Amino acid sequence: MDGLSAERAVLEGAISSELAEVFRVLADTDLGSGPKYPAQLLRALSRTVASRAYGKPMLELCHLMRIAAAVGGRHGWPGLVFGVPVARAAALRALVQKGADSNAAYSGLELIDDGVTLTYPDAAFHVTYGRMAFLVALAELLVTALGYRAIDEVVQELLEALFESASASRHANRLSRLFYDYLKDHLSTAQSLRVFASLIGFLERDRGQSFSLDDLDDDAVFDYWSAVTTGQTDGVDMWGFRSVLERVATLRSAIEEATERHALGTPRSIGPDRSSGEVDPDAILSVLEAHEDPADDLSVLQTKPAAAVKLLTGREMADLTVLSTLGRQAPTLALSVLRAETLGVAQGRVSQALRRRAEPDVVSGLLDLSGCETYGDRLARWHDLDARMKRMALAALAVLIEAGRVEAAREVLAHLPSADLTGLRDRVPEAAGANVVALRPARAPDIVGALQDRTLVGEDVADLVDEARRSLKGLSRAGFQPKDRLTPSVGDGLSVGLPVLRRLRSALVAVLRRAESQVPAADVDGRFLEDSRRFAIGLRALYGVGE
Amino acid sequence: MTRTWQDFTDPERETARQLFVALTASTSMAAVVEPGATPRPAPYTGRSISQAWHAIVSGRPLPSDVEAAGLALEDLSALLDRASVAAVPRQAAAATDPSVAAARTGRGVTIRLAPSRSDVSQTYVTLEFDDRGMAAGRLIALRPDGAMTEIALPTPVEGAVQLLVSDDDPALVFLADTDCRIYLV
Repeated sequence: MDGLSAERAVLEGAISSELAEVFRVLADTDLGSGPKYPAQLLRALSRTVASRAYGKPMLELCHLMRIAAAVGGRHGWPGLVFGVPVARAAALRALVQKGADSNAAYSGLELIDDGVTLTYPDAAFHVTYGRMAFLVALAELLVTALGYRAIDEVVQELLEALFESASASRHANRLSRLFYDYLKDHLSTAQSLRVFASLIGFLERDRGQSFSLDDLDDDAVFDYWSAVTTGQTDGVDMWGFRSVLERVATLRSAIEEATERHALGTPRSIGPDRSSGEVDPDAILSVLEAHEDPADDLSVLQTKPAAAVKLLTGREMADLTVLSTLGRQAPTLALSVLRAETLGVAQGRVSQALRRRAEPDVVSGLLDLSGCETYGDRLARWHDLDARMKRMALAALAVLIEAGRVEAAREVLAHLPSADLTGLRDRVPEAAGANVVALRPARAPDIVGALQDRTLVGEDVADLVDEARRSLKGLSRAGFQPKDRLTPSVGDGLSVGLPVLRRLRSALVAVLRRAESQVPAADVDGRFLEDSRRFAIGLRALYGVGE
Repeated sequence: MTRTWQDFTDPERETARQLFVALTASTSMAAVVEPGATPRPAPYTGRSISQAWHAIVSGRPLPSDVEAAGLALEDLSALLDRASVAAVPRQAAAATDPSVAAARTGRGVTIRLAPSRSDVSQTYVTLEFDDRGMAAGRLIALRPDGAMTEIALPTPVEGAVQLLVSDDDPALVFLADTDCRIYLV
């Protein structure tokens, strides 16, 4: 999402500028080993905050504080929480193990394979290293928002209390209350509720009282935006076409989920006032995760380990941002995605020109949508992008094969789901025993070598492998050059990034197909002209420039 | 059959409303944390507690004052206290008594200031550790107005460190100021 979008998020009033700054500080924290908090971790944290589902994490955090205090030695809990250079399981494991080796005060804590178990007299609690990464981010969020002393006071009281699980619960409640009070001023519901009411009111007026989910379509997006331009949206100033699109998609998700709950007959409204529809924060969190996971895909490609390989360029990522943000709603609103990428981008240019006080004739030209990318151009660009993503996926398969990575077989099946790879069964090394756990995907040169044997895997798979090799030729992006291909970091990056690339391509293809079915090739120019005429009227109304 | 909005009960509508609000807030926060999402104002001084901690314990240069560190004075003070092997609190009540400034005792250390007999423009600063095995890499002084200074310390000899400081050295002004809090890290 671009910088303007981030500012827009604050302007739209969902979060205060201070809370935005707190998240920005966390995103910028770098102790010399790259960003301390990976973007996906911060996305998970932001979802937890947005859904106010921090009750259980606060309890886990209290257990972590006991561990951190024990291994932090003289520095106490900050030694682990602030001292870990990157919030990742491996870094936390290393620091905890080092601290455990050098600090005697370690009774009640046991280090096991994937984390630390606290054995209290009244219960036992396990914190995995993977979970610690999230909890460290939560701790830094609390300290940044509420101040070090406010949090340290609660933590010190916890550490001085009896070593029992119940005391962790009491102190977790205190932390929750402190954060709840903070969020009262910084996580506003008022503006979002106004937008919700405005959208619902618009649909009731425009589509009738009995509107349904099906009415939240491309027409609704354009019609609502047009209503915005003429001030008919109950005081909601959401000028950007893309903002309107995102909010309609959000409303679709919210109504879909409410409908599903009804269909299941389990409203899961377990708040204190069930009759008023109060929803369990954890249930809200699960909806957020389902809705936003696709939006995390671009972040995954930009962070380690996937960032070791340039599967997509910056421009390609920018071309995927809108549909990625809309997640599962993108194909349903495909025509709106097309409009956002063409007319919506043109609107952005108008607002930028006005902000920099451009000459009136320049603004007028932009209002007339001169130079605006057409639907035909954008659809062609999506086809090109699809072809490039296909090539990158194939080239990546060739790299995996060359590196002898077992993930190559997974990728073959992703490309050819009906491929019969049973011929490779004999090449799989015998397991050393049920208790043996592979620490990292093994190299499997025998299996991978066999992928090229037409007699073993058949013509289709062998042809695919040939095509993959051809795709790799002449590719100079990071991770695809001969000097890079055999490095473990590239293999690890592809292992994570390639499934993401596939998901993104599927989403692009779904949007492309749907958009082309709505705007057939014969109509594409006419439809663009028709839409752009209407859009230009809206722009002039919005920016106060008459025809 | 597709249910219409009219078919929704009040609790269901409330569920949809709450989900909409949470999704909107989450999207807003996500916009901020996206890699390279927001242009930062220049010069940008984040207030990362981890970075402040890292600077304190790793010997990296500290900001010149609390404002530059982006932390509240008392938070930074508490953080320094936690990271330090020894510390001397402010002694403002006795600020008018020159003998207090000349010898201040705190947690784990006594700091003495004594004019040089051979050079009147210089002062000896002596740190005497309670634990003779104790060592610190630097002294950090924090004034109530948020100004900070630091002095690199040599290895102690028999539990003490002695420095000869020019009287016009700004660090000496900090050390002579009984309002100043001193941390040995």
